Amino acid sequence: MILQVQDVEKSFGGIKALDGVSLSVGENTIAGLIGPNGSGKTTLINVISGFLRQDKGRICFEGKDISSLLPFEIARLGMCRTFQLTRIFRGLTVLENMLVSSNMQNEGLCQLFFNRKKMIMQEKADELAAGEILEFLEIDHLKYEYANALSGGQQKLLSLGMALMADPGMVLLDEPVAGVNPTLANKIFEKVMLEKEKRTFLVVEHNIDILMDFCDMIYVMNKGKIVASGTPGEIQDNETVIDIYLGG
Amino acid sequence: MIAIGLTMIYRVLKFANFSHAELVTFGAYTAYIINVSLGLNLFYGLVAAFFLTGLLGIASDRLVFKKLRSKGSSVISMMIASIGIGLVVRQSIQEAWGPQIRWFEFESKTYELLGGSITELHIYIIAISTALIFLLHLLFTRTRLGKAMRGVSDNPQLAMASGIDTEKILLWVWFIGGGLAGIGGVLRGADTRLVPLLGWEVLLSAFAVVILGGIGSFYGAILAAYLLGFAENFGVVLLSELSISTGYRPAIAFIILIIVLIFRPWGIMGKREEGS
Repeated sequence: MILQVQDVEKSFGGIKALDGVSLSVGENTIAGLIGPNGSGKTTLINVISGFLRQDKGRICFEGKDISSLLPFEIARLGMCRTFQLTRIFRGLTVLENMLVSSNMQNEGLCQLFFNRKKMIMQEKADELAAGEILEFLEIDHLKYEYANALSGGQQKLLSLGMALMADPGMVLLDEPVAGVNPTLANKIFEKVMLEKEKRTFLVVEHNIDILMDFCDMIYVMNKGKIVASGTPGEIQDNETVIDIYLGG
Repeated sequence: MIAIGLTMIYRVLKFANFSHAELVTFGAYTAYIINVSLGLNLFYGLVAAFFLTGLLGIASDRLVFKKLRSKGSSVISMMIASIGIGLVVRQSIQEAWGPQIRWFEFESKTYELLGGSITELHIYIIAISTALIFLLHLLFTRTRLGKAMRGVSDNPQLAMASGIDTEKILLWVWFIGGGLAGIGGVLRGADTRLVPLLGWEVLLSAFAVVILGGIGSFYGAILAAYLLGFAENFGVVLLSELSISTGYRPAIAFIILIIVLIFRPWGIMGKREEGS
């Protein structure tokens, strides 16, 4: 198991957003996380990626306890994320967006003076990698455009590209196809499928149909708890899930 | 230089740092120690001013702003805190050197050029500013640090998710932004004189430059600085021709600022608010 979440709790004021959540994701799989609005999906992603600190419970990534690490430390360990409302660096070009996401470990000025050769080599390698990913996502023709000039769909693709840039072992995608047309949504998931042999994905999504097509394992959340889990086939027939989604 | 440092800190930290004025003054007095008290070339003073003022910038962040930030303070409390820091530093400088006017020790020849005259000092000022602007441009566009800085100012949370140590980047921003303020202070002090209010006197103009350039726009600030500089100098000539007191000189910048902002409320190079 590449990711293990054990008994995680998180409250905001008196409201329990996460109430003893446990789940585990196997290597090189795509796991889906579904549930109605306010069921705690995004809170869980925020806790896993270090943006929120859980009140209780433990999170292990590749066997390491990451419960108390900061977001940038978790990213450097090889777990990247995207955000529900697409976040990109709007004032930077597409290529610069990619380069900034390349897990910069040595961002000091000193390296510039003392390690110049190595820096230039690294920069070249990063640029090459960025070009390949942009080509894979079919937005390489926009390389030198400023990111705020991109359409909504292109921005979604870019944010996916940025998450892949550091060659992470695991990617958390928070609604990667929200507000995207069905054709592009399918394309985005096809790209994710192609990446599966290299890494693991945990995807939060409202669009249940698309998850059914692409996920290996699905977790269903409601009111801060995991209420069901299983393969897409099992989830489809699960009565609790039908109840939640039909408002029963 | 002063306005560029102010812009950098504003862009990344999102608050108007009033203590920037005292970073400027501190830089000037640092150079005074090297130049006058130790009797060395003013150039060494310039270098020392850059490093020490940069460190003072870092210190003010570590001691005050970082603590406020981690408590989620509003930009208003940060701004008020910066006024407080400014007061402390200004008063300390006044205690140490007294309120009297002081001068750097250097010689500056005057050259005839194209019918006008230019002093050696002004040539140095122009050369140093141009070189620094060029270096900053390289920093922001070519280096990882510069790109990370732009990333952090653009979207701090995304920067964190991208594995950027934002707190470390903030230290660099304070160091470089503070260092530039220090250099600005030395140049200003060399051009005029040293008083504990040196930075405070230029702070309003620096804000005018920042606003005119478009808040947070680095290139806008450079353009605006030149524009206001020229406007003030030509304006002074115009004022004396019209036999109006040249005491109105500082007002020229603001008249231009108001006129520009009526027609381009987002500044020369700033971004329009979305949707307008």
